[in-house]
This record gives sequence, structure tokens and C-alpha cells, in this order.
Amino acid sequence: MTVASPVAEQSMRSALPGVLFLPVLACIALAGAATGLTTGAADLSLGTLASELWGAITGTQAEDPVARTIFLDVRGPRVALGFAVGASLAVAGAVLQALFRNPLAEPSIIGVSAGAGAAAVATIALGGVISFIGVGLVYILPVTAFLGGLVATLAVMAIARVGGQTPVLTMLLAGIAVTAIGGAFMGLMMFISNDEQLRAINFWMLGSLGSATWAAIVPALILMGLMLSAVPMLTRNLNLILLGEREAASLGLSGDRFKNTAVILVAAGVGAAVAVSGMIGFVGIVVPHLLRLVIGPDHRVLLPASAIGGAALLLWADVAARNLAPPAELPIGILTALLGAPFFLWLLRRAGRDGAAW
Amino acid sequence: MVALAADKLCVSLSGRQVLTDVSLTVIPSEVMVIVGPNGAGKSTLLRVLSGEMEPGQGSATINGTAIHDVSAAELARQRSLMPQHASLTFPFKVRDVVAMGREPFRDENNYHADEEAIAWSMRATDIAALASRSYTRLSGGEQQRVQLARVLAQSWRHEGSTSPRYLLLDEPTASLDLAHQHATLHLARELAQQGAGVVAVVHDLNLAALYADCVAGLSEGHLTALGAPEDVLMPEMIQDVFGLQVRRIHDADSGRHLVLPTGHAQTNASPTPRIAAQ
Repeated sequence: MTVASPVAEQSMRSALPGVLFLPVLACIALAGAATGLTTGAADLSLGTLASELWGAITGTQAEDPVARTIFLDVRGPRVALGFAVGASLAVAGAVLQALFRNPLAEPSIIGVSAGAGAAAVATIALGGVISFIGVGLVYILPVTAFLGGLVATLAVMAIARVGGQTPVLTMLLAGIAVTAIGGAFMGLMMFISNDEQLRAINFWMLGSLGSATWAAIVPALILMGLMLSAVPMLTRNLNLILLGEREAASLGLSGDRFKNTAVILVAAGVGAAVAVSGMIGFVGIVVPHLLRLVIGPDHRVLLPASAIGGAALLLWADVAARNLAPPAELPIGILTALLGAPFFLWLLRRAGRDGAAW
Repeated sequence: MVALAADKLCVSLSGRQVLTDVSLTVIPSEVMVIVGPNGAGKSTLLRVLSGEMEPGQGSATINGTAIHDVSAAELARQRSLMPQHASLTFPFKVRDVVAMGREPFRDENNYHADEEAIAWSMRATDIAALASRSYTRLSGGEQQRVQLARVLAQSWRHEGSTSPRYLLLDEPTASLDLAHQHATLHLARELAQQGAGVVAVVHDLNLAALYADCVAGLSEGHLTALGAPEDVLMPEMIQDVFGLQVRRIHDADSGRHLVLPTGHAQTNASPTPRIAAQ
């Protein structure tokens, strides 16, 4: 430990291998999108997909008008929604994990989804009252879900904080409590709903991309797009906050403004996702986690990778949901829960054994 | 005035008076070591001096300006802080952790300065060989040296730079082996020679005697002693503050006075469990 002459050491850009991983993820996501567009009730070839998409871009007459309609208007919105929801949920998970400095934070576990869900269900159940205002439910649902998610996130952050830290235990317990409150509220709303509303709520609580039409998803897509494009501003501060709140403060991060921005963005992304696709759980924990194992915790790479990885996961999950038991369609939320819940349990076990090895 | 100064600080936390009327001044080119028993308010004092906590009464100033009037970003370029417990649990590479110390200087966009600071800090703390290891896989002592390197990278300056800087180190030697304890305080001395003001909380009085320019003794929130180590680390003071009997030994080679415990410690905790009378 002597003070040697300062000669710049060979620079080690440790972010590089992670960056190289991004194209791989992008290919998986694109393959998922292509499979999603071509498979289903009518199986279409990749060649048709390519020529019709090219035709649509260049504005030439469709060679196969039915195929083009299926690509653009039936499966197109569904694939776009899968992409945006998967990306938003995974990025929201990564951001929450950094904010809580806890790898078990996830929108559906710590109550963000339940808050957004309760607000959305209330919006559907009280739809008669709200449509009186004259604004379509399509526009109102993402906004109320956003507000519900925001309230839930702030509540969990406030409850779970013990002396400047957020221990796993209090965070999970606060999440359980907030989720229970959200669930009770949803139950209450279902109790006062009519049959038609009940069907809408039920379909929606299981999570599905099935309702996707362009008109129904554009407002939510815009909100998710805003969140995804704003999140890159946070990367460096998210890295600092992982060091610890005191350390981050000593490095010049003035905490509250940054945290509030991050929480609002997460609530916006999750709220919009929940509003149009229902309760799709565990994407936010599975994706950032697996990626962290491969590329490390640096958010400059982790956030874009989570966005693409989340999109890939949800696109492939939707392909599975549509093709496992045709002609019926499994709710995608059931699939992600079947995949994600065991993964979560595995993480918990791992944490118990080897607390520092996240 | 170029100094990090506390003037008549009083701090109470949840109704308990933690610091009472503490005044001291850290000047560039000096190493100040704070000693005192557990719960004496040492960490709280560092929190106030780093701008993390606002004092209830009194003032804390950095180069003449109240610390709370300096923006967090500007403060980060003037002082660095190593908390007692690090809370990083994510598997960053060692080098990435050290590189975060350069975050306050990101706007300067000086790639070479950053690289130089990082490389120098890692060599100075003997962690260059760990550069691409995962932080979470290191031993406690290695992690502590990585945190120290991060703090060093934050206060690194070009040779000849005169802008004042302060390092606040809360028990930087706590989990280090003997050689690295001495190396750390030796490093503090070198930084002071290069113009930094260093404040370190240290429990080993002999480390304080060997490396400090100035020793501050804290006891129950009061500053009970302040001055050169040979004036402060006297058996009476140590008996008062720590309740420990020591003998003072003069080391002719270093010219420093060391202390050797001779009697039983009289701590507040009883040494044997008491059995309640029935």
C-alpha cells in the first residue's frame, strides 16, 4: 500500500461484455415477435410476413390482404403490447430493486401491481359514473392505474423503511399488506359489479394481452414509452444508490428528488401495463435477476438489457399462451406466475443460504 | 478560512443528547483522529461534518461556508466520506465500485484524470489485483479496502492542485489486518502531506499515537480532550474516558508515546452475569 507514481492503468471497460449481450437478447425478442405474428389460428409463413411488412412499409398493394390484416391489425397490436408490457415490467423491477437496494423487490410482490389493479378495477366497476364525464375508459384506465400504483409504492416505501434502510422482511410484509388491501378493494368492487363488468374484471385479473386493438392500447403504449425513454436518465444514480444511501449522498446524489422521479416513472410504467394487460406478475423479478447473473448490476447495461429481455420473455410467453391449448387461450399471467413464483422461491432459499451473493 | 470546522455543536437524536457543545477544526495537511468509547458520538460528529446531518445547535462549516448551504454536488467535490458499515450487496466489480468515487467529477469529462485516480487509489489500497473480482465475494477486510479506494478516488487531485479537500473516515481500520491498519493510516498521513484534511475514527490508541497530528477524545457527547497525541493520550485521560488503566511508554525510535493497558477495564457492562436474588 505505497503511493506509487500515478500512471493510468490499462483501462478495463467491464461494461463491454454486457453490451455485446444486447444483440443476442434483441434477436430472441425479434424471433418471439416473428413467431407471435405468424403462428395462431391461421399459420402464416415468415416469407409472407416479410413481404407483407415490406409491402406495408413501401405502401404497395397487399399480395395477401387477409394475411396483411392479420399481421397489422390482429396480431400486430398484440405483439406491440407484449413488447411494451414486458419491457416496462422488467425495467420497473430493475429500478425498484435498486431503489430498495433489495433484489426481491418486484411490482407484483411489493404491491405496486395490486395498487394499480385496485384502481383499474374500481375504474371498470364505476365505469358508468366515469363515462358520464365523456372521456373513454381507454384513456382513463392507464391514468387511474398509474395513480393507484403510485400510492401503493409510496405506502410500501414509507412503511418498510426502518432507520434509513429497507430490510427484506419489512419490505415483503409491507408488500403483503398493501397487496391484501388492494385485493380486498378489488373484491369489494367485484361485489358491486354487474355481470358484464365481472367478466371484464376477471379476464383482466388473470392477465392477458388478448384485448389488444390499436385503439385500446395506444394511450397505454404512450405512457409506457415515456417511462422507458425517461429511465436512462436514472442509470448512474441507480448505480450510486446501490452503494448505500449515505455513500450515494456523500457522492453528491441529493436523494429525495431522484427517488420521487424514479417512483413516479415505475408507477407510470406498471400502471399503464396493468391497465391494458391486467396482472402479469414476476416478469420484473425474473428478467433483471437472470440478466444480473450474466452481465452484472451496472444499470447502464442492465436497464436496456432488462427492457429487451422483458419484451422477449413476454412475447414468447404469449406465443405459449396462445398455442399450448388451442383454440383456447391461457391467460398469460398464469404462465408468468407458474414460471416466476418457483424462481422467486429459489431466490429466497438462495438468500437464506448465502445472503451476500446477490 | 480553509478548514472543516464544528462550532459548539449540539445534536440530539430521539430525545437523547448525542453531542454537546463540540468545537473542533480540521485543517488541510493534518490528520485528526477521533477516539472514544462506543456510543460517545463519534459517528454522529462525522455525520454532521460530512453534511449528512444538520446540527440542532451550533454550526458546521466547510471553508467558511455553512455545510448546509453547499449543494450536495459541490460538497462531493470537496469532501469524501467512508461510513462505518458499507451496505453494498450487489455484485459490482471491484473496479466499478472504485470508479463510482469519480462520479462527482463526471461533468469535467476528464477521462485521463478519472483513470489515473482509479488506478492510483487501487494501488494505494493494495486492491489492484482484485480489480475484476466481484465485490460481494471479497472478505470483510478486502471490502473495506475497496470502499477506502472509492473514497480516495473521490478526493484524488492532480499533483500540485491546491483546492482543499477533506476525507472523513469512520473506523477505516475496523476489519483490517495489522499491516493494512498501519498502511491505511500511513496513507492518511501521505494524503495530509499532499494537502488533504483527514478525520478518522480509530479505536486503537497506539495507531492514533503513531499517525495523528491531533487527537480528539469524545466521551458521552462531550469533547474531553483535543490536542497533539503526546498531550492527549495521557493515562488520566484514558482512565477518564475509557475507564481503562494504562501505562505510557516512550518509544525512542519513533519519538512517540505508546500506551499499554495494565489494569482491568471498568466498563458499564458487568463481567459476569448476575443472578437475581430470589
